[in-house]
Amino acid sequence: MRNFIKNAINKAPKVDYLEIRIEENQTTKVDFIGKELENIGVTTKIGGNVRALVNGGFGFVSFNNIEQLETYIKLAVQEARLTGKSKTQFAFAQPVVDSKIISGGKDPGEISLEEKYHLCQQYNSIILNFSPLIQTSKVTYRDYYKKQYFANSQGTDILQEKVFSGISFVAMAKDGMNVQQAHTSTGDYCGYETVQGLDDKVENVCRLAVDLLKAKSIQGGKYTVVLDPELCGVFIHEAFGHLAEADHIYENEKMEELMKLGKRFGGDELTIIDDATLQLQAGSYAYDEEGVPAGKTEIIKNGIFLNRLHSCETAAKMNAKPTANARAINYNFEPIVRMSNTYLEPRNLSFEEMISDVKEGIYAKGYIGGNTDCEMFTFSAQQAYLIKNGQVKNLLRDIVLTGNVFETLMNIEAIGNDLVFYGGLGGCGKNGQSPLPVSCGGPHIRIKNIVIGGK
Amino acid sequence: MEDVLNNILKYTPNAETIHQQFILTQTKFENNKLKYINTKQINGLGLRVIKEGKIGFSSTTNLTNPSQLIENAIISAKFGQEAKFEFPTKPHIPSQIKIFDKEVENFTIEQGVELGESLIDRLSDIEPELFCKELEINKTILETKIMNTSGVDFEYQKTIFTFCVTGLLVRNNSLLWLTEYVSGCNLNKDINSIVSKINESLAWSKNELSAKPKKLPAIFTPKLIPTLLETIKLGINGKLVQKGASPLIGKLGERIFDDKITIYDDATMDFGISSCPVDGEGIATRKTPLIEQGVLKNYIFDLQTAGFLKTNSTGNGYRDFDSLPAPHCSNIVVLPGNMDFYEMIKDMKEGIIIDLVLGGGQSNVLAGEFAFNVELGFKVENGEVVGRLKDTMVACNLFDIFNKIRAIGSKLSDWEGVRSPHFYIDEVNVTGIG
Repeated sequence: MRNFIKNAINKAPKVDYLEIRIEENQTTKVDFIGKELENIGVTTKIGGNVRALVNGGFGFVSFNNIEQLETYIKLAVQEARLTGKSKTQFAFAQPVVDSKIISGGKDPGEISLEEKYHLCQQYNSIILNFSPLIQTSKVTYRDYYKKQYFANSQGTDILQEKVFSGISFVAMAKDGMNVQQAHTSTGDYCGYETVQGLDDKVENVCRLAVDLLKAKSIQGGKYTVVLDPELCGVFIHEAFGHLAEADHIYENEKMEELMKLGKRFGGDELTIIDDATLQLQAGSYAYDEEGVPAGKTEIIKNGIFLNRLHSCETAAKMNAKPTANARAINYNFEPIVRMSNTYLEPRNLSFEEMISDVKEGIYAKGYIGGNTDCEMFTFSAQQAYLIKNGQVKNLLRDIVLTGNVFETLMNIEAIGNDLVFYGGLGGCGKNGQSPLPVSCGGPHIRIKNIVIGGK
Repeated sequence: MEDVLNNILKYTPNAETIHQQFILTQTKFENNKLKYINTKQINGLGLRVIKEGKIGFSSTTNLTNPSQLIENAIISAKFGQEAKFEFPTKPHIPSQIKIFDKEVENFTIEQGVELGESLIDRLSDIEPELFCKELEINKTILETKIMNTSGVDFEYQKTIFTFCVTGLLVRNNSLLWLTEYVSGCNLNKDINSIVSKINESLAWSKNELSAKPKKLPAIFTPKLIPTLLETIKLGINGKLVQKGASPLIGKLGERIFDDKITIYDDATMDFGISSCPVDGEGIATRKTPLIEQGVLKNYIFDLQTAGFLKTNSTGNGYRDFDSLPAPHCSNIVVLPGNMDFYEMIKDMKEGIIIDLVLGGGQSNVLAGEFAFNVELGFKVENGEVVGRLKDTMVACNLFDIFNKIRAIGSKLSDWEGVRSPHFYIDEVNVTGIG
């Protein structure tokens, strides 16, 4: 395959830049919903793409029929010529020839479908037997093996293989019209062990779903909020990560002004990092989809905005170095600027110290979702508790938090001493590409003046 | 496909194949400039079998080697769910639905470039500082072929044309995002309506205001309705009904909304984005009333969920080639009422208009709970729009607000697969952020 791709590049028409990505993957799915096994089986996909760059314009073609690669190269070049009307600016990376495998632990490919079925069935029955109030369950298992060939006209030739295992659980409790659900998800490149031995986690999800039936909604308003590491990660991802992606900024002077490097966005203790080189996390990789070696980027260091996340194009246009953040969810999509593993660096406060002087506040844990429009962000907690005079009290529900990006980071009052990363089956969505595997992480943090919507 | 079906007969007499092929051509502008021209071709085959009463499934895009596909499907049938249905026979299609437009097929990349450039020009004429952050013109030609061992052998071609623009205006620390799009099976190059909507939003956004915590009447534009109707889409979904998870179980025939509200699922409307003659199982599609004058009328089913509940498929078994069918809504249509949007504004003493929200799907949607940040919304005082709402959060429960309807708008607009009028609501909970 590598020779096949190289030959195709050598024979291709002359352009400013050309790259080819071909992927083979095999996915195993096991889905239980309620008592029934909804879906089980293995699917295979093979496909590829060509991206050509001429005079600043891109052409991109994706396809399943690999044999016709040469035809698709011609089409991509033709499209790029039609698009390009200015000068090509592209930070050509050093050519690399390499092979890398992102995989640890037991290979899920070595485990029989029967064993995966039994594992899911066991988790599913834990949920269904937990309480008569549990109405239904959802257990979603995925593993995949993805083999990705990448070569470009600069001489880069990379084979990257990834072995992912993940599972998610939903427990739904119902009492009349009152329906509450709780979920958790785990997934990374650490091997089949990632999905094993999760009985306790499953039970916690069930307990939460049942407890939420009796939880009270919250009065809308401004609160001091303590976020757990999972929500801290989502908060960082939504509240600042997306704004650090250079494609939001690189051709818009007003945005660049607003997001000037060197500007203070938080207190001295605030450091935010994006690091694709972390071992076997959901957002880890050896090379991004432009063949740039993965790296660690300090986005905010001690409160100061230090670096943006770049593709080869945004880097060239902003006089920066590529940070290996050009990513695509699969061969159907062109690479765009995305995060990898994004986290807030821990400091030295324990959780107890952090809540001890909170008179009235909210402790929010676990996440349902998050969004940003680069100025405002929202994210929602799966569970939340009232904090009263330094003590965690009763469970609350329907907690959607919101804030202004440019103010909220400044409102971080305390940063904890723990650090946890969360990956999972879901991921990040941007420009129609979703879900992209990423992980988010951080310690417990405390933020003042967070708005919570409510009645 | 015939080969796969013939070969599978060695293992089981009950099988179904679905072949999908599509070509998507995209013309993408970024930051006021033409940036990308893309062609995406997808070609894949799904195989569903019933063996010894159990369902097996597999899919592939490697059409040169179907033996692996057959093997994978047969292995998965060993553990598969018990089949509660038999593969259907040849569908009877009552009338032809228009889903293919020659004009879309003939639409060239050059025409796409021209169309995009003219929209960018028009927008910078009305506001030079408005950036066309993204502008995408997509043309898709989709071919679907479904065959089974009971005699279904049906194929259809469909075109889809979408045109989407996102503008960004940065003023001081404030970002104004404006999004408009048109979509359907037919060619729709009407940029005038896009320009005039953006123009209106720009004019209304000159002044920025924040809201005080309060209960206020609200006008929801058709862009907000798809988010809110998620609750109904989930509640009437045959799978959630079968699993006992829908809050609408046992409520057929009951009034759940204000009697001004009537909602259909309709895959048969001409050029509707989700229209098609048969669903992913070869069952003829139809128009199904979901809510009629506030009364819950139907759930929607595919074959398997209908089998569980001993009823019939409503022709809502949708799928891609790489997934099993499951009940999904097609085009959702909300019937119009009799009040014009501008009359609603005139009628308001103090209230808000909500157009776009952030975080709409993040609360307990199944239970109808919504809390969102108003990304684009306006404040109304004494019958006039006085400015853009900033730093505002709104919380409401669907069952609650859809029983407090003052009026339904007289004009319909399409957004995210929902054709809806404006909704004029008695009151929502507003929380200020500023």
